[in-house]
Amino acid sequence: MIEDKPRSRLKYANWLLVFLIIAINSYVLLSPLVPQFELWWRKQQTKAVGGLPYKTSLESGNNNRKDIPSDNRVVIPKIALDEQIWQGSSPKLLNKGVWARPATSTPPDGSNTVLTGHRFTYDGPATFYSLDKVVKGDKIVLYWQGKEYDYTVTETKVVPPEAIEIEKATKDKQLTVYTCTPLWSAKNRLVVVAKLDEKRTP
Amino acid sequence: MSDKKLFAILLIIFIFSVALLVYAKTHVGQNFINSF
Repeated sequence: MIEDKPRSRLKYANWLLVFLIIAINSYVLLSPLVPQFELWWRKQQTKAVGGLPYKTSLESGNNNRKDIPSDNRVVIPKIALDEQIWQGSSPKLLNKGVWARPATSTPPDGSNTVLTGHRFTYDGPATFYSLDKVVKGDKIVLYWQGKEYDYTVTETKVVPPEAIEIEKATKDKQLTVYTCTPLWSAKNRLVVVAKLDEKRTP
Repeated sequence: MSDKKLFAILLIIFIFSVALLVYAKTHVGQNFINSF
């Protein structure tokens, strides 16, 4: 009986370790699948509400929409993304979602508006997890200071991290969205370039 | 297998799991903005 106590403690410790090992590894292995599920869920929700708020003013036939959000947002219908845009100088804003790069332009000023966000991390939101599904011709809508700006994707590319020219000012009114690629690393940048569609933007 | 031996094996697996978790938290997708 005296020897049974340490043995039962050891058994208890073994079961505790098994539980912790399963919990930690499940978290590490299953977390990357969560954004996939979230994309599916967002698409289901979008279908359920008839596609709103993803219809642009011109598509909905209403140029005086009152449902334009008061905060700055980016909407990418293809991947059912509807995220607030955070402005500021701290890269920590990436942990909130989409970050407007501080040294770049804004939609009312024309030139190059640059947005960035995490692809996947264990510490922040996987904002642009599905950005690789966006292709040439897809639409991106920005809501900025109560006004809508419609963009059409003209180019997608992968560049090395040193390619800082993607943030440079441009003559055209364009939107540049980038994140890291491939999915599990920060080796390169996945860049989506979209031009302002003057006809579609009210 | 004795409980002691099993405990030793589980402890090693646990340490590797924690190391994997720390690596994932600190390296996957992090610091991608630093190059700019």
